[in-house]
Amino acid sequence: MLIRRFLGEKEVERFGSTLLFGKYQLCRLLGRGRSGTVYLAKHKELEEYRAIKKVPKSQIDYAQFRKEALILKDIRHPGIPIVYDLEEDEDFCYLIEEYLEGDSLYALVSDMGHFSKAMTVRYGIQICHLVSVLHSASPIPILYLDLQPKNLLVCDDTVKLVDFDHAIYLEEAEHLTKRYGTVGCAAPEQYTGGKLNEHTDIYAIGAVLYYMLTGEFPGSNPVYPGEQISRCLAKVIRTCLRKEPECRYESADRLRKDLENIQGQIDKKEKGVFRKNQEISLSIAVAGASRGAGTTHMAISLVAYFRQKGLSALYEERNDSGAVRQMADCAGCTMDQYGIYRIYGLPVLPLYGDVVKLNPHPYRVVVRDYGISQEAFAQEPADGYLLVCGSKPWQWKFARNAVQFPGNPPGMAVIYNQFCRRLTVRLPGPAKGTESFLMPDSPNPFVCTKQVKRVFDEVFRMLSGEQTGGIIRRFLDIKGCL
Amino acid sequence: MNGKTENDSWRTMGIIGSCRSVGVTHLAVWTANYLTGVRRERTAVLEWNTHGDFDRMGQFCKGDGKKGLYRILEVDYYAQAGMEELADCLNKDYQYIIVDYGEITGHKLLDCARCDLKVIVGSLSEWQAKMFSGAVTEDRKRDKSWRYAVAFGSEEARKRMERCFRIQVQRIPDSRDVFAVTHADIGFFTELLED
Repeated sequence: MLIRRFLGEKEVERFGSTLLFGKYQLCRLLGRGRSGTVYLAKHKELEEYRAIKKVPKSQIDYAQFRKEALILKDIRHPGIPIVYDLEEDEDFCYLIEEYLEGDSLYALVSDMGHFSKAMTVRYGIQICHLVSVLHSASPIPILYLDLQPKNLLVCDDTVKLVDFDHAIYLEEAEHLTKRYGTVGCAAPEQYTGGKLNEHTDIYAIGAVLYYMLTGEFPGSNPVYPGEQISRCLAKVIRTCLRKEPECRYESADRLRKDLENIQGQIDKKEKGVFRKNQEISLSIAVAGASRGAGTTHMAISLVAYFRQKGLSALYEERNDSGAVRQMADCAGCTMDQYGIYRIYGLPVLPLYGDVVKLNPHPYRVVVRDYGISQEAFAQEPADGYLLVCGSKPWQWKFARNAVQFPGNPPGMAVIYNQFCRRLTVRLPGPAKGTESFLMPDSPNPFVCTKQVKRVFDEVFRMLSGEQTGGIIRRFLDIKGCL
Repeated sequence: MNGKTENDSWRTMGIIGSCRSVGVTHLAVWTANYLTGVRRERTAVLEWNTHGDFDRMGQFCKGDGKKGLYRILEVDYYAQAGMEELADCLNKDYQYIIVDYGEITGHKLLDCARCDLKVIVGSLSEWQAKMFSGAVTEDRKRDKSWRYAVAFGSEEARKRMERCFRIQVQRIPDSRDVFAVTHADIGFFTELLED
């Protein structure tokens, strides 16, 4: 899946010489939708990026096209794009909007698999808030009518709503002749010609919640696997997905309150740094015993783990491998004002030279990857230290030397990357004040699997001074290792 | 430079000015700092003129050091370089070699043409604009590896130049410190160095 997306991104169209209306330099294609194509463009004079939606006149009349702009012009919200202008030429209409950067929920679920309960609830609350902004628009409420994972972007853990193609004023809903929607997310009344109102969007919120939790759309008879969906969350989604509109939540705000209650329950269960509503500042230093030990993989996995835990963490490259640049080039990503790239939804900061003066980033949780520079790693002040060792026989010697390195910080956790399940792991004798963990093989560091989560849970119990649960013993027993 | 084979990973960039004091050295040093600081490319800058700027810069920044070669913030500067220094650079593991040709003269322009990427730096200040348009007019058949950039002169003059000669003339952003690259500058360099 990762390879497919990388190749897909590489085939991005380039439009170096195309200048629209004398001021917008087309940069690349952002996406194609039912009604038109969206491009990224740069305003030549203001040097700012814009999203330009180009719709063929054969598909839409100008009055209908203008409606989207009119709806957007009255809404001011950081999660909803600002509309700047409307243009037209002989064959096309153009809508010039604010460019909102981020990965769609669809892309995130496709790449990472379904979300955790905590992530789903966190994003669900934000979606309810966005829908509520539309439903309470004054003087006339707005219905969105096409809420689906491709129209929701996530940037810096903030959900944004794009593509207002099918949004209408509530008072026009009765007279709507043609109906659109996305299969899987559209409410039953959108198929049958029933009355459209706020409940129609609430059905879609339920479908998106279900999609985030399971990676699938609910269909006509959704199942609620207890492993992924707790009873209280299943109840919320069931209420959203009721066939009869009046049986659903009365408003997006009411739904948001129920989700906030669930979030409160999740927060109560969390301990230490993962407890919500507290100001957290955390830095974790990661270094490898040798090249190929999987240090970058581990550091990215840790950022993915933090995200699953509801913390927005940054991967910071503190070595000269150039790994972040290579990933960013392959994925066709552009940096933001902090010099940060977003790769599969995770913020990553490459190593910059001293001459580069960028705005200081806002992340309070940072995972620093020191590569194989164990000295720099040990000297840098951090809240936790992870030493990554390879577990292949030709890496044992490096592992032993690194674990017994006299400059190691006290309280360091040593993680052995188990690349090959069938290979026996021979661990060096434990160094004073360190604890060892065995990390099962995980092919995709951007996805935090259950096994990876278990190990990091144990690591953080150890780092926060709690008793470890003997995860290394458990894994060794299972695999029949030493 | 023209003896480059497919296996050679280095890239050469020649910067030449339409006349003196248009900012060729400034752009060369700044570009090197961008390449090293932002893109982490190992970069060398060769002073292919006799102005002596690099020696002065090296002595100011480093105080001492081997005369003729200075390493400042990860960039190697070769003062008053010639074929010997160029050959030396090509044998080292640089990824980018920037050549500061100073102002245009007949043979320097030919040398510059051998680089992978060529930039003619001009000025559109009223007393220098004619020399820039002269440099652009000299060879109208230049391919896309030739870039044009100006730091001085009005925006109106820059646009007029683009219209008259059907070329893109990039505006070099204001930079008080060549040893600092900000987010706003990165867009300029991305465009300048684009293939």
